[in-house]
Amino acid sequence: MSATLGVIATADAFARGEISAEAATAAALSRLHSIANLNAIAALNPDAALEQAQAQDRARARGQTLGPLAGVPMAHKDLFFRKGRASHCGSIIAAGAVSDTTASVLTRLDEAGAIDLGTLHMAEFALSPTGYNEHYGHGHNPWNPGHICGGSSSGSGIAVAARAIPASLGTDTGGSLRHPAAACGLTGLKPTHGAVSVAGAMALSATLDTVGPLATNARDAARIMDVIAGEDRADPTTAWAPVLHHEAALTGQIGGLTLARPRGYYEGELDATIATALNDAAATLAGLGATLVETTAPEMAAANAFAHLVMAVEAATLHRHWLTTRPQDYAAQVRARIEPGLCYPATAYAGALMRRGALARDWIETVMGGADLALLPAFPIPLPTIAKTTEGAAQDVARVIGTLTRNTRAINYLGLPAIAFPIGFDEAGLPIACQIVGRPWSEPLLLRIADAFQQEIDFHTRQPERAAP
Amino acid sequence: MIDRTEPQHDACQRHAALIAATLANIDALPPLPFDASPQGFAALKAEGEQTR
Repeated sequence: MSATLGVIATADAFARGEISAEAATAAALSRLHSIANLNAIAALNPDAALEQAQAQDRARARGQTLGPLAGVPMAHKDLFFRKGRASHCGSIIAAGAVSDTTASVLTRLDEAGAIDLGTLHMAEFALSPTGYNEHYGHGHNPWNPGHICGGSSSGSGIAVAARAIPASLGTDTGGSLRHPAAACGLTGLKPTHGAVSVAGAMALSATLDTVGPLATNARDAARIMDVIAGEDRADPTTAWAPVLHHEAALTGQIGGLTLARPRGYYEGELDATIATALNDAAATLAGLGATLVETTAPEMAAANAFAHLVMAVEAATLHRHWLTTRPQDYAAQVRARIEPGLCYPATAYAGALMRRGALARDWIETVMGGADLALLPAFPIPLPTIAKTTEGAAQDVARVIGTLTRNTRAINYLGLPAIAFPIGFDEAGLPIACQIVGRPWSEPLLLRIADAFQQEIDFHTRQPERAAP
Repeated sequence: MIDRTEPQHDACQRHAALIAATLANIDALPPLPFDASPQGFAALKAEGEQTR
């Protein structure tokens, strides 16, 4: 079934005439329906998708130049707006709202020939690292449906891991691309803030929000980044975005790169199995020519505090009306993440913005210590069950969720790019992932090191048997 | 003095411990230098572009 091919494999097969876009689209739609029990779908639009696919088939038949994603069926987190389409953003409150604009990234994918199958499930207003959604049901991990699938881009993670679609766009405000990547055994790239336009996507916290790809491998993610990244007049934060060549950077060569292994904070709460997988991954990368250097990470109290404060204040500003008029329509867990934003003094918020550059610079100097990149755990603990993140005492649930996000959320405040990808599997057969963080605009380097790793070890090719095509 | 609505006041009471802990972490930082600006992060990105 063609939908189980990756992004580049599908585009290449389409360009060679081995498959039609219509057949690839029909196969992907069929696969998405077949994994309905995992709760990956928000709303599919098969008629529009097949129309797009037929247009690509006609273009190929006419001998027209094909885009880099021609014939590739994709579906995206239900917060990328498309003109004339409703997006519920995982919520009741936004349900039914029809957009009058199309997200810039969707327009770029359309122009590259990708097929848009519809929208995928997500956490309510992108506010859960686990895939929790009280209104539309929790997402289920294809590797084990009783475990969290990661969020907030939960449907994206599920659908790509189950090989229903080759890739999907998600967003990352505190880890929402890296969490499903880590939980589902995928490659997720959180770009530098301002590298990819967020215009026409639901805002959670404009200072922290980023858009990026979830794919089965770094090479596919690079192809997508080449399409979606770069300056967009509709999003002035991209004004500084340089032209980066992501796919071309995948030389397979990482000799000469220096990789920091930060101790201190990033060893905190680290499970022994995950520590071992990280050591093994570091050894693999060293074997490929990377130089490892040990650094010491400082306490992250200030950066974590600011990450929380900025997200809460900006989200509370956006949600203020609804928090007052329809508080019952938010899940308690979600409302609790926004409400503190109503209470912080303006000076604390302004201070967070004024300290951001200096704290990012400090992190780069201390944690990376002159290295090109830093290797960190993604989740520090094995994937919990859904029950552990939804049931029991509120403080216990909050502790698990806080632990899951301890290594990811501050990276958004610091504005740095990061890639998460699988580096092993635990005894329960669930994925283990790392995240590698770089300086601003180091996305090509991040993709290169992940690609080199994936050329060496095949964790990324493994597929969950329970959702096997 | 901020005049808060009743639901807002309730919310601030509910999350008082988290808010206090967050502000304590921020208060522990040294004073901001007088040239601090929200543009500091944009400057870092621009620097990254020059040295890339």
